[in-house]
Amino acid sequence: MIKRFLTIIFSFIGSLQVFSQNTEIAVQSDSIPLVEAITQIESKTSYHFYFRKEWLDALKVYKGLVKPPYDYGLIGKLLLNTRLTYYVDGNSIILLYNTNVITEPSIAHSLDNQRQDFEEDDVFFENENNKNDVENRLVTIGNRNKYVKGKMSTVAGYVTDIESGEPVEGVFIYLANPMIGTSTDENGFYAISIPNGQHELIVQSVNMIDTKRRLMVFSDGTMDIKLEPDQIALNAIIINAERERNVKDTQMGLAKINYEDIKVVPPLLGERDIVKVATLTAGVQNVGEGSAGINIRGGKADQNLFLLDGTTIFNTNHFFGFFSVFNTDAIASMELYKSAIPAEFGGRLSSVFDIRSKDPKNDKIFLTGGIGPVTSKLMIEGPTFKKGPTFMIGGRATYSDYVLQQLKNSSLKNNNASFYDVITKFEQKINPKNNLTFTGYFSFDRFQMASDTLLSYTDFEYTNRALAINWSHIISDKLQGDFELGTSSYNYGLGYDLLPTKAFNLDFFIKEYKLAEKLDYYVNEKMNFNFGLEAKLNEVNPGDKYPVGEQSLVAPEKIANEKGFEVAPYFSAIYNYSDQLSIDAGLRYSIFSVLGPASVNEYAEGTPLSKEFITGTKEYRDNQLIKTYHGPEFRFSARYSLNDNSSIKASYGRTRQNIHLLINSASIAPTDVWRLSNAYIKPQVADQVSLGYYKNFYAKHTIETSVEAYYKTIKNLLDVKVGSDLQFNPYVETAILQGKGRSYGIELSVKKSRGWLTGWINYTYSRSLIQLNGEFPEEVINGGVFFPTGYDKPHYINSVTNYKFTRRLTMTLNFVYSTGVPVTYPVGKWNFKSSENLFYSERNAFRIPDYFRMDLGINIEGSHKIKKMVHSSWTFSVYNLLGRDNIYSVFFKVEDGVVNGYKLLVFPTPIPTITYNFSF
Amino acid sequence: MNKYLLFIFILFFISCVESYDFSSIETVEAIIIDASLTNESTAHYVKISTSTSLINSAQNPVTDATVWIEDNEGAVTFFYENEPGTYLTNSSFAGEVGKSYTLHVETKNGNQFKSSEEYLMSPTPIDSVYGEFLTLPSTENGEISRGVQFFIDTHSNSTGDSYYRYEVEQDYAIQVPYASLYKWYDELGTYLFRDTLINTCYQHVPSSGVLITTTAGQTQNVISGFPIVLVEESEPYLLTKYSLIVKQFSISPIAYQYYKALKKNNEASGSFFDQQKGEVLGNISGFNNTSTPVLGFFEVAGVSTDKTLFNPYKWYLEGFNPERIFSKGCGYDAVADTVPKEELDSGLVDLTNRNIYYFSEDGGSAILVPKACSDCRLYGTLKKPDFWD
Repeated sequence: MIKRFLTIIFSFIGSLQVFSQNTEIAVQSDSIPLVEAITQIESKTSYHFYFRKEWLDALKVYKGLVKPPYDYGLIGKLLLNTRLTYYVDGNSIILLYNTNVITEPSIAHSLDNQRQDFEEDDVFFENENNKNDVENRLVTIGNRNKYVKGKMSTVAGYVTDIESGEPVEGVFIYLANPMIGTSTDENGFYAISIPNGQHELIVQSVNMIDTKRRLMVFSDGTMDIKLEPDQIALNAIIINAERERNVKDTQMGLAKINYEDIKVVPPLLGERDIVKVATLTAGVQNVGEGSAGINIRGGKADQNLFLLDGTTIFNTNHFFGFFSVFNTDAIASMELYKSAIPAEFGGRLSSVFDIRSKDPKNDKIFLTGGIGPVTSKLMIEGPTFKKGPTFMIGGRATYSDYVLQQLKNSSLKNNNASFYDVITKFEQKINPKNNLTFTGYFSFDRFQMASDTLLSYTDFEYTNRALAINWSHIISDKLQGDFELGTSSYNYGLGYDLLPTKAFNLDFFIKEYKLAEKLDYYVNEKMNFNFGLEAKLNEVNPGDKYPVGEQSLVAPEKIANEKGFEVAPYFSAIYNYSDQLSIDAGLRYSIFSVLGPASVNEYAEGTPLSKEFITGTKEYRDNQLIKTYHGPEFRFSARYSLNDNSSIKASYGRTRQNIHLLINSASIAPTDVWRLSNAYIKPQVADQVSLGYYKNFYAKHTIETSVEAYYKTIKNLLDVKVGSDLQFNPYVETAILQGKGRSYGIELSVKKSRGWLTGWINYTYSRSLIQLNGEFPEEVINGGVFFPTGYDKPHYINSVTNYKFTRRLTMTLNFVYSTGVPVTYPVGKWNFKSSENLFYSERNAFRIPDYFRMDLGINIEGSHKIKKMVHSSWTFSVYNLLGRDNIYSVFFKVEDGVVNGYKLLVFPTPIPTITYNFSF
Repeated sequence: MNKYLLFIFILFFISCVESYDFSSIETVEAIIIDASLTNESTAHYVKISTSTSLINSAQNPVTDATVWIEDNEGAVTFFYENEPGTYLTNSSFAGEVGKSYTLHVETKNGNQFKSSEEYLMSPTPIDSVYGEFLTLPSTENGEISRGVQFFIDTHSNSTGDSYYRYEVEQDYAIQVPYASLYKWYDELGTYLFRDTLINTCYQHVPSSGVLITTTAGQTQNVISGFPIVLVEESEPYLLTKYSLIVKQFSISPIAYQYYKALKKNNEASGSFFDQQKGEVLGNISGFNNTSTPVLGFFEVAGVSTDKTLFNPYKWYLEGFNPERIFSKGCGYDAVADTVPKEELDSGLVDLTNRNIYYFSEDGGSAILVPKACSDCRLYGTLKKPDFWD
């Protein structure tokens, strides 16, 4: 029992090492290996040390240190400047690696309780290898004659299942020290570059018994590894770590989604979607089927920061919101922060979606693809040339255009709707201390509509562009830096050409240039600093309208570009006060400067901001300061461990937002414009406190549960006046309302991430309210009292259940229930100048009926024989399995003096899809 | 753009619109003031009512209110209740260009309402109203519909932007194929040659909806080819003669904004991007009872009128082919019935749904045709519009 537990813990530690930085200790001439020092102490005292040999391999200490008294003080001194720490248990001194984890009370606690077991098991550290000859035997790699000391060599090979002979994917293979790791691909192939010499290679895997190999590396060579299946074993080392994170991590309100999670959730229209998967986690809601925009903890859809390798993506939706713009194949992971957002992030109120693209494979060229009913995708990745960068390029496109053209006798025949996106990444591992990546992203959507009225847009397209350069640099043993340089833009153009005299094109763009320097300083085992600086320059072209065709009377007109520069230095410290208490406190200071050139409208005092009260305009030169908004953003979170598997966490965070999307409907429309804070639009500021209780059950961490409660207030929450023009409005301030926001809720979550049956269920009770109580009647909504926002859904339940029948066949069932969203209904009818009009209720006074949906997904993996050229999988899914008529919206029309109510149903019938994925 | 989203969804058979039962929605009462003042010498109106429930089509007029306007020189003009809820000035009253007016309403239960001060803009003459034969995709089913689209051109010599609202009244003539020449008189027990022919009637189609446009954002203060009304081939308007009375109201930018917001508020296509609905504030507010919402607007405008008579023949040459309403139900062989004159004289022939078209040349038998094919009064009135001929 204890052994298994320790295996978990140490596996966890091991896995962390793979991701942490290298440690190098200066070698002094009068030094002795730490191992030797420890042996000396052991010989002179009754202490017995327990440790993993590889931790101490490269460590040396000053000879003179090893002298009486041989007490804890000496041990402390010896371990100073290393990442090792120790725990005393009677005469046993247990060395532990990487304090962030090790100071967890769990180890101490359980060691204490189960000392007997532990002692029986003390072979674990050094003698465990005896159990298996393969593990103990020294394997020589390469040619002895080619041996050059200090040089790196590549060891490569295949990892297979000893029983079936099939390749095992996702096996972690790493050296503990220096920390170098890799994982196997779908073919079980791995390649790892390690220094020549003697090493112990650790091999850990999902559903396989962990093993290791002792290597003597002379030069490049191969080694295949066979693993024994472990049917009842741990799901994955990483997942173990993730599970423990529920109770151990200081961070709260974090949802981490990786590729495996995405594979589990049944896809819609054959498209796996990382953002949609996020909506199946607690506290994340979207307005409705296929609609763009995610509401996190009662936040508005524009309050989420989407980062792709650190660079902002402004529009995350293809096809009105049916698909996200992220090609899931190219994504490694996504971390979603809902509260306690780390100080390094800023700029949006509610959340950060930190999406990281996949690191290209470095051994050979791989091709991955998928064919679905609406889209198809293809990705190629691999090395370029020897020592050159690795690359990945993935593309995705729809053939809806083709389908549209096939429809006969339909107005759709004249319509076009298409999209595609391309992502590319280059990675250059310069040396162990420097890594450079370059990410490029492009997405494009286009619609052309055969118009049915004379006054609509006919042509519309939008693009996202992003470039990100990331340089991660290990400055010293304790200091690591990440330097990010990025630029991204979103632009759209729309055209109208039905009335020749009014034909025009309208262009919009928002651009961001970003420079960030993020430093991580390891002070000691109790303290870690994160600090740095982020600078962003935003430029918005709110509208550039120009005539099309000779007959057009449209005057070329442009709303002046907006410019804003934001600098935000930040500093945060993670402090492990004790085994129980860990604190992460940070401060980010945001300074946003509104810059010229601009002509700022001036309004008569004591009048509402309305066009008729404009008294003049004030001109500003290029880069002249118009207004500065600044303020601190405090970020604080703390964890207190009650025992090994439960903890309490609390956090407080403030966020500021200076870039606002003017949304006038429930869903984000691609034509919505972003505007910056300016002389009239004030920054939105949110304060959130949250408190959570976390407990894991069964075999320590099989079932994770949590309760999180939050309360959030927002200042200057943006809303818009009814019927106002947002799109091409030189007086945009006249269309805007700012008020107070308030949201609160409680999230209950249960998750099982191990075994044949896995899944989770979340229940959220939450409210999201806004108060618009301005000085003038047009600035007051609902009498100036708090009322529900358009995305207020008090009850929300979502669940994903995954059952693995065999390794190749899995089935997933998920369901979502939520209270219907608030809507404004007509409560009366009136005639005016020969028009029939509806008289609407107070804003959001009604709700549409509740929402419920269940989806089924079945995934069948093809055979994974190495010899097979193509590896494939089939995904069969049914969206809205029960065919429930979920109402997306309710709307009303007066037709011939009679008011008719209509409901829009999206996906009212089960939508089955089949997708074929392949790679070779 | 919003309207098309639906079509895209239909493409995938994944969305649909169904009717929604809303009978449980409770009605909230609001006061509606629809007021208009122009530079025309006519009876200007103020209509006061309260909003009705969604399922009720009856009007709720507000009677016995005191209604007056006051100009910027302090002159007061009263409106008198002509029919319940409708208050009129005397028919010779005209607003003056350049003056400003404020509307006052006091209801019998003491609620007082007042508009903001509105200037009467000078009217802009209409340059021309013309029609063009076009084929367009229909709003209803996406099928291509063919019709004559009427446009308006106007220009103003004043600098600055112009804002217009249009009212478009249509008049058309309708001719039945077998106009009855004789009328049966029950009381006389015989028939007589009609002294008034019932072959051609006239129908009036009042303006509907709010039609607005502006020259703001244009290089010239010109409206060119603004679509005002579409007559589709399925409509019987363009079979013989047709006329348009177009009233062009020069309105203030604020009035334009109001109408625009009102239109937006009424538009709902059920797309994902339907705009937030709510109350649109007009220029009238209550000042001793703020709890009752006030809807409506006091429009003060300079108006110019254009009356144009059209002969649809030229569009026929271009391919316009309106549905002949009588071609199906009034085929002569199918509907005409010949009865002996004696039988008719005896009064035994049932003429409730039939008319006497004419008598055979020998006078021995009468040709009877259904009223639908022989009496134009079923489709309009005999009174010719004033300005025709």
